[in-house]
Amino acid sequence: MSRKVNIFNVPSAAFVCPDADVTSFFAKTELSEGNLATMCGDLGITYNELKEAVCDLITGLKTATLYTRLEALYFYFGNSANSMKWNFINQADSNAAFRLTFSGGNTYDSFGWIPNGTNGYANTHIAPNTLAGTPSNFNFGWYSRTNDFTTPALYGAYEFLGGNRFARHRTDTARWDLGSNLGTSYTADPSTRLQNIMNTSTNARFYRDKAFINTMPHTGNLPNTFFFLGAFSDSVNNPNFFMPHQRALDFVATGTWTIGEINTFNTLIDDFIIAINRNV
Amino acid sequence: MYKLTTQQAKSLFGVEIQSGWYFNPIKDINGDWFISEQEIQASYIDWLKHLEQAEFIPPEITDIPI
Repeated sequence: MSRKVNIFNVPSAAFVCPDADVTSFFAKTELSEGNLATMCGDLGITYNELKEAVCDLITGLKTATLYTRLEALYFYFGNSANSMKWNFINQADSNAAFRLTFSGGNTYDSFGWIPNGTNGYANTHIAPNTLAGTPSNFNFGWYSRTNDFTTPALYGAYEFLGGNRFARHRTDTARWDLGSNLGTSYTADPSTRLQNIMNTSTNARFYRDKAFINTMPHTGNLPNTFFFLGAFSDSVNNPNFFMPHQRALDFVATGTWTIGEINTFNTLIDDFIIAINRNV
Repeated sequence: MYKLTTQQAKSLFGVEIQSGWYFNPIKDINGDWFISEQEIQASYIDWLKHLEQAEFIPPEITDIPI
């Protein structure tokens, strides 16, 4: 994204993205220049630059034919739960659209939202098994701005002991589990930047900061409990294992990907985070 | 964290703090109910402002069961 310095302090023409989804997002969600003034000021970018960054990301995803695989994409714009709840992919204000519902102790600032690690979390209303069917069809990731290993879980949902678990990060083994498979050990230290689990046709691949970490089988089952952010849902959708990591972006996607597609996707997401100055 | 009676905690379940954000009272290791400072500061419910801060000892954290 190009940055232009307006030395005359004259209001510049509003940036208009040719993509209709981008235009509708900013209109439907009332993420106007006035409503995002605090956030843009804190990030050190203009409203036009913010919209241009979103435009670059979305058009890039569409050009790479990756956009249709996304089920949820949370930008966390604005400084309130109401402004951060929107799913770009389905911009309706409903649980069925995977619009977030926040609960408990959260802070909403210009760089994302921060659950307090005690009782704060967000419900995506995504039931992974219903959405994707199998672990090999469920991909997800987040951009974390916090380096913290004090809590055992970083993500996910599980349905019952011994089966249909989802993804997690244990303090002792730094391990992800997917479906009913026990996990693969890896180290994502520090726990910052883009972390994601993406499926190829043969296995699930774990990435941090665009770098490949490890693989694990993606057979087994997914839970039908809801996928929480900032906590781990249990068999009756109660939150557990709260985690105090500031989240600058989250996504959920379906399908199996080639390694080239994963690399392209990771680069587009990372470029977007850098363009809006939320990178750490 | 701020301590609640059981009745107060039950009265907050399902209640919106602001649009899109709900209270989540949580029990500590002794079974007492608490809510967070963030919830209180963001809410317009008057009686919350009179709650007393108390030590919150989280339930013993075990690793996620295998």
